[in-house]
Amino acid sequence: MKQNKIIKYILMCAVFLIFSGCAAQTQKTPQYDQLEFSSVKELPKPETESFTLGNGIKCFLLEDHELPLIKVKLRIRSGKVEVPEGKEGLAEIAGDAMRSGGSSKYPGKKLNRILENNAANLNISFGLSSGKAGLNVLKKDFPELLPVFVDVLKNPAFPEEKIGLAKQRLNTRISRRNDGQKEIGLRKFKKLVYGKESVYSRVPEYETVESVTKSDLKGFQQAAFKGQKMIMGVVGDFDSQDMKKKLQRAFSAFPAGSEDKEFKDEFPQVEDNREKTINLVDKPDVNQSFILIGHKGGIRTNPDYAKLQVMNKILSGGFSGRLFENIRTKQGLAYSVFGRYGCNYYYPGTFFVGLETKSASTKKAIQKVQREIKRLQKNGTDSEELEQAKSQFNNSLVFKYSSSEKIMSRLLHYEYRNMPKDSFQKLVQGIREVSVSDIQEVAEQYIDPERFQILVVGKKSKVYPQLQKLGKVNMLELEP
Amino acid sequence: MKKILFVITVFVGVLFYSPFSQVSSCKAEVTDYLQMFEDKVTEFTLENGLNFVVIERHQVPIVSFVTFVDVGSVNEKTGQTGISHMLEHMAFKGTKRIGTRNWEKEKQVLQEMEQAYKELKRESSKSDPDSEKLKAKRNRFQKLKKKAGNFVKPNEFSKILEKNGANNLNAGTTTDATLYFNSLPANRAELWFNLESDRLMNPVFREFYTEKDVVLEERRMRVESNPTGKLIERLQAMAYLAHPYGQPVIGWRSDIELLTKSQLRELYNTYYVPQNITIAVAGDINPEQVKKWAKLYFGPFEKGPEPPKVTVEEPEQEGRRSFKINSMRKPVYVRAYHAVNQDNPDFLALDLLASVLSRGRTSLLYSSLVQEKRLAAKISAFNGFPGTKFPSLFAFFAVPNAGVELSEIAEGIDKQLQKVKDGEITAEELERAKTKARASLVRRLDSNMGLAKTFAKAQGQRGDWKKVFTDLEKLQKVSLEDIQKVAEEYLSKENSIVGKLVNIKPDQNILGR
Repeated sequence: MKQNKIIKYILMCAVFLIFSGCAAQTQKTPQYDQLEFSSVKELPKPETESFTLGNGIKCFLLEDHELPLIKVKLRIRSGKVEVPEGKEGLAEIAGDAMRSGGSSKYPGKKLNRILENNAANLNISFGLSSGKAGLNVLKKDFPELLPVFVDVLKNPAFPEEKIGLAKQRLNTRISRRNDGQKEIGLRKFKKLVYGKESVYSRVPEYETVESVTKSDLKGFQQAAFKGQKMIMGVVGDFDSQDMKKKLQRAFSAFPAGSEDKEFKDEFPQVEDNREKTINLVDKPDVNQSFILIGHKGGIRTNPDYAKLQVMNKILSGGFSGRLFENIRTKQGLAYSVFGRYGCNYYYPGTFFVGLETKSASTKKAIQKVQREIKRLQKNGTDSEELEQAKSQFNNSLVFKYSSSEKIMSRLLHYEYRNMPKDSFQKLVQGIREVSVSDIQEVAEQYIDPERFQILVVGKKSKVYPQLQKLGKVNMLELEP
Repeated sequence: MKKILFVITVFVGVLFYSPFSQVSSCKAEVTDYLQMFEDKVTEFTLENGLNFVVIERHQVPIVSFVTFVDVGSVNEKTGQTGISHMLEHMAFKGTKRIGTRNWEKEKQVLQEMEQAYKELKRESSKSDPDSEKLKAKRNRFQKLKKKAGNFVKPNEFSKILEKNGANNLNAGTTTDATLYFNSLPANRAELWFNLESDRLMNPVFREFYTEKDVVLEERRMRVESNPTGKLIERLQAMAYLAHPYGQPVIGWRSDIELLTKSQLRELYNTYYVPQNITIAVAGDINPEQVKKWAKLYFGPFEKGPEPPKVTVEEPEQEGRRSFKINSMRKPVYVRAYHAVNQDNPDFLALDLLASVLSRGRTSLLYSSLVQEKRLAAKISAFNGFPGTKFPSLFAFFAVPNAGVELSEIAEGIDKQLQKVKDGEITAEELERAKTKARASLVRRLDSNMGLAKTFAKAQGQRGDWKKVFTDLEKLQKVSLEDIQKVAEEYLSKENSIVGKLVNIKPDQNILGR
């Protein structure tokens, strides 16, 4: 700031003070920490109704009459985990072709017109450990579109032409999978954490896509859409008694299925990483490194889950976390920096810290992250920081109830995992009870820098010499 | 601070088809909405010109706040591109009372540091700098930077909000505007007035030089290491010779590197004046209470001179412009046409045209290029790039399938455009597009934050939040002839800019399509 600017600014402020009588401003307006807040109003506790259809489909209803809309969400115990080796891509193609091909009664083109003329939305997709299907319609169109939704899920036509389209789309994705640094990084990091051959890290290849047949798709779809495997939530402007009847009628068409194999048995164990490795993927056309550091994470049902959530907040919660403060704000080493000890339900999550930094500061950033982790393990937290993390969570609780859809999603989330309905309340309670010493304990127990998998996707000519100073560097090849 | 509400995100866009309603009952419903909101909306202006829009929504005890500042990259001077985005980052650095351990002492050091930076810059910009002197000056600057850092409480501004439960805390800069936003539990609403007024009236640009590094990392991530980002940046630059819409929101690298604090202060003094700011508050809050707090906290905000207007006009293009970027990545195709700003009557017809072309699975481009001919993995048409305040572009963005030539994509687009120009769009297609426009508006109005952002923009940029609804009403009146007319008038070859991201490595991994 130029000197005269400063003077001008000070003068301006002075004039401002005199004329607006704002000298009193600091006295009139309280300091932010002296404000008194009333206690937060009672949170809305919407009534949900639940019941099970004859074929085993679990249903949850939540009325919300603000807008004339109805949303149906289905969770299906199915996913890529069930796809046999050599058929990678089957689940993605199934979701895509079911939607684009429709049923013989409502083939793709007709389906699209019916939906879009009514500004309705229908979607189907399969992730690693769950399938999802949804219908989002105007209330008045619900009676007409519910049977359409059911028919598409129950009797997909899988026309060859749409299978071909889905395959081509997936092949295009494969052909572009080495374009983005992040995409490469996330794919390779899974391989480092779960193992190259693991069901949790495998990806479709041209050959596996090619080998998927219509009967594979039918088989996959039929195995998935069985009553015992389906959970349904309906939110919106309806009468629960009436809705119950409608669902009964529409969804009884699905077979019950048997319970001979529990879904969770589909998920193999994951070995811990034995030793630390440093890995580099060469990306010659970038001037920034994408870095991931971490190892196998945890399981949702771990009794220390609440403590780990608080640890996550301390490490990387919003703009208040340590990574943001020490990597970004103080050092200017990154724009985006993130990390968490992740927990999944059916299989272990990952612990990771990630960031993007200019090629020249790759080593420095890695060391800085490692130092942050070590500091957390050695010194834990203090009461002020713990209070910040816990208040952040507690005071924002109201946002978890801010829409019926959020409430329903959480309900389905726990039901899908067979977790007790009060799991969220227990988590809230658990977080309240976390102590200063807990943080250091869990950081020590669950994070192990000796097993860190360090991955850099960046420009080899700039980065390799830096990484060599940290230890032996494995060059990872990109898949074609 | 973080995401620039990068136009790109909108541009590549998520297709969303969503709720709402039948074409037949359209008009009645638009009027209904306006009426419904007239009862819920309170608008007032303080003596200093600061404008407030309050939208009551009492279902859940939360409130969303949006501060809309009418300044964006379009207001930036040559050599200072990226400065409004930089200021957006700096607005999170605290005030004279927040973010400091001792303001009086910190102020002293910050002044010395600024002096040291100037001396360093003076030396380094000499044609033959003295390396000893340069080193000494650099050391002095670094030392003072470190010293200043000791007074800082990092991120205190955000920490206070987050500790109080703030949700969705962030900010964004576009070509046209800068927005700051977050939501709080309703019982803590006063905290926002307390902090936001302080931030707008007494910002301290501490940690400026470190934050430049952060923004440079952001530029590397979005543009320099991301060919698609480069393609979009180049498209803007190629389209505008004179108008500042040609400047990237994040700024050119050398401009970011050389920005000074006094330039930042100048931008702040010029545009961060109350009559250039609109605040929208939506949620479980009483408008009378908002008025009281507004007066108490923002009353002392001093009115400044009227900010200057952008007066440059882009000359007519007169002939296709095209460019390519050689890249190691897979190809991408963009094309844009000079079109109009949001207040031009043709804007809405162009909006509908974009929808007919690429929104949803029944749209012309999706059904032909994606589904039938299988040329593209993604294709979208978008009206109002890179902004909407000034005459803007109608743009296409396409990702070809493996093995497809960009020329095939171009032909595919041309074919569909010809259909439009030949008047082959059906009434059903147009009605569908209108239904979708209504649906997506209703979607946005379904949350406090969506309401606050939409209303803040309409009020702050166009002087009236009701335009959200009157536009929709006008949109219902757009005819098939209007669509044909705008396609013919604007989407001509002479008026277009074509950009290609070209793969320079032969590609061995293509399976036949």
